Amino acid sequence: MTAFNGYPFSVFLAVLLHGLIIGTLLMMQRVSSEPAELVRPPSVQAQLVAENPQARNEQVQAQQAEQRRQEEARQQEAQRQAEQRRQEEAARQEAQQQAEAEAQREAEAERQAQLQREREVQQERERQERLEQERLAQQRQEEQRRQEEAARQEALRQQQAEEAARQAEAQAAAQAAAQDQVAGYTAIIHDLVQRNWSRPPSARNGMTAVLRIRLVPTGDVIDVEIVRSSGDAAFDRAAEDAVRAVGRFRELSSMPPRLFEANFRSLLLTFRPEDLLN
Amino acid sequence: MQNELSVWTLIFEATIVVQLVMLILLLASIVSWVMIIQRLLVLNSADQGMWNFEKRFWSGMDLSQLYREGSNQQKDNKPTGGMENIFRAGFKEFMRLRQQGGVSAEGIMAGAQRAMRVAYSREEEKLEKHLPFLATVGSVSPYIGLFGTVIGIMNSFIALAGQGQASLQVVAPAIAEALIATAMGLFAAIPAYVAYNRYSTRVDAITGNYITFTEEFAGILHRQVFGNQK
Repeated sequence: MTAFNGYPFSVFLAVLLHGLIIGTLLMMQRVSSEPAELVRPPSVQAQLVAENPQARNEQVQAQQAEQRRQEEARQQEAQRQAEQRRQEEAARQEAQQQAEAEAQREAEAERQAQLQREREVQQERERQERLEQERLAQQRQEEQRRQEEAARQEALRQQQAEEAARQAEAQAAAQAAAQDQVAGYTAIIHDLVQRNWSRPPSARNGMTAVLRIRLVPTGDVIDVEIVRSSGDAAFDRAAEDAVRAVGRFRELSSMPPRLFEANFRSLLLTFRPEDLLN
Repeated sequence: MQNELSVWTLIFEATIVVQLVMLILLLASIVSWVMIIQRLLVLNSADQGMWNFEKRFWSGMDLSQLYREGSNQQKDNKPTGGMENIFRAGFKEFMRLRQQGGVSAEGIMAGAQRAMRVAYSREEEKLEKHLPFLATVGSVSPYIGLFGTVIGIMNSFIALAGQGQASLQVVAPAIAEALIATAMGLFAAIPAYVAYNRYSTRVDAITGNYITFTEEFAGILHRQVFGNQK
């Protein structure tokens, strides 16, 4: 019986046991950590402004359509020019034939020579006309190019405008986030002070003490003064002691300096024993 | 704000020494559980083999046939139980000395008993294997855990000195981290200690049975030797 050692089986069982225990621990941890995430103060907010992909697609499509239309126009223009060139070619050939006929009939009247000269003049005029047309075509092309340039600039301007709008939106979101953050930090401060506040027995409902706290960016309280007394010295003192007992609001040290300067350099706290029964 | 605490973050963010201690304790726990389970199987099979053999031995079967059956079993690569091993060692020596001739009855008895003593101590050794390891884990791992805790708390206090101001948020995670080491030490120690106590009692019971059987068998042999001499 001693040759039976059962080591592989035991190793398997032992490792399984530990795996089970660790797994259970992990599960419990996960379950217990879920509500903790829900309690988090809403001080952190997404500041990313979502781009609308649909609008962008539409814009891109419109640009493409515009380009296509321009391309078509350019092609039509080219066709028209080709047609003209063909017509001119035909005219030139005809003129040549006529000239040949003229040469054959040179012995005939000078009137015909005159006519030919006139024709030559006409040809010259036609050539000039052709040149003129070419120049016109060039001008047209330039015009088109200029228009395209203008369109591109327009698009660029639009994009910039959109960019600006997006930035403005982001800024607005950031501002909202900052307000949320301020609210979160204020809640933390109230919570801390409240925890450290032991109300004197002389506290009555309706008493109100307003304190001004001066803070430095590390969260340390450097000064506490009573702005409005409740009329009860013990109550005032207790409120002041509560702030001094906190001493330092550690959470404030992690906030952006701009936010701090804007909201927390000097802070008014109101103490009201509202939750008392008497 | 402080991020949420969990056992895992504590373990993974602990200092190297504490992590090392935790690793040692985890290994000790796993190995000790391997021993616990393996010993359980061995002791159970030894118990069962012992009862089976005793039943066969006292059934009035011829002793040489019993010996032959055991030999056949060993030839089939099936190991014989502890008590049977003792019986076989004693019987073999007894037969050998008798066949040699010229050995006195006292000499035969002494030889057989010596052979059985040797076999007995070998069996006892087999049963008690690994039990010292369990005892060591049971008694030492709380100290190892404590060592990890002391180192962890020391580190936390050193960190605290740098902070200047002691708040619960600073102290609590470090102490929790340190205490995990103690918890793991206890986790490894308790089963090992319980198993050690339980198993040594069982080994004592089994070896006691072996001794009783040895004496009984010696009595039978004695009877044979001196009965034949007359």
